[in-house]
Amino acid sequence: MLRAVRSTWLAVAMAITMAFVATTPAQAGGLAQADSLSAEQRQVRDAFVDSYQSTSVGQSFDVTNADGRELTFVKTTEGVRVSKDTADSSTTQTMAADFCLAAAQAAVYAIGAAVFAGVAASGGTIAVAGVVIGPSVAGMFSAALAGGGGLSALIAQYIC
Amino acid sequence: MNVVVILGWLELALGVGALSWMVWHARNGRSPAQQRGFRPLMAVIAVISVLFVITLVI
Repeated sequence: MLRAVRSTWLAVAMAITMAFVATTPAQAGGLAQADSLSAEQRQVRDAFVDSYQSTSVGQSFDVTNADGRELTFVKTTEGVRVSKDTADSSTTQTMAADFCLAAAQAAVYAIGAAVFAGVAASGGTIAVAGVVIGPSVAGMFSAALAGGGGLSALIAQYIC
Repeated sequence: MNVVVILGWLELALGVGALSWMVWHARNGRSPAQQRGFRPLMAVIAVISVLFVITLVI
């Protein structure tokens, strides 16, 4: 599956490259070959060309085909390079993007703070790893987790 | 409902929502930190968390 998708993208990329290269009459054969693409491939090629022309060097742009598969390109002084391929987003082979740990910590701490606050407010107890925690300790845990969550969120602003 | 309860529910909703949002973006190959709403979301979590700590301690 992955190989087939990559082959399709490779064919499209080769055709696009040939279309770019064929700028002189002597190389018109390249354009003719590019025009032998299927309707979907031509659509992808046109989307690529439009995005490429409207993007400045250093900026990225996405090209998506009819199946929702997406490639992210970065325009460079030499041409383009592929920075991300989500061709397998519909399968288990999904490519996960950079995940900021501080941001995830902020969210998890916020959940924990709310849960412990709920325990403290209800006056009940909660057992964590076999240790029974009463309402007063749960309140302290809640405050600590909320503080940690706030701090992680602030850190995420700067490092993510 | 008092302030602590409201802030607690807000904290829970923000935590679950932010985590789901980040995981969803990451699984789709996009970096959550590069999304437009990331910094405002972190700022809201920070503010709500600080308010929550203050109301819990007072």
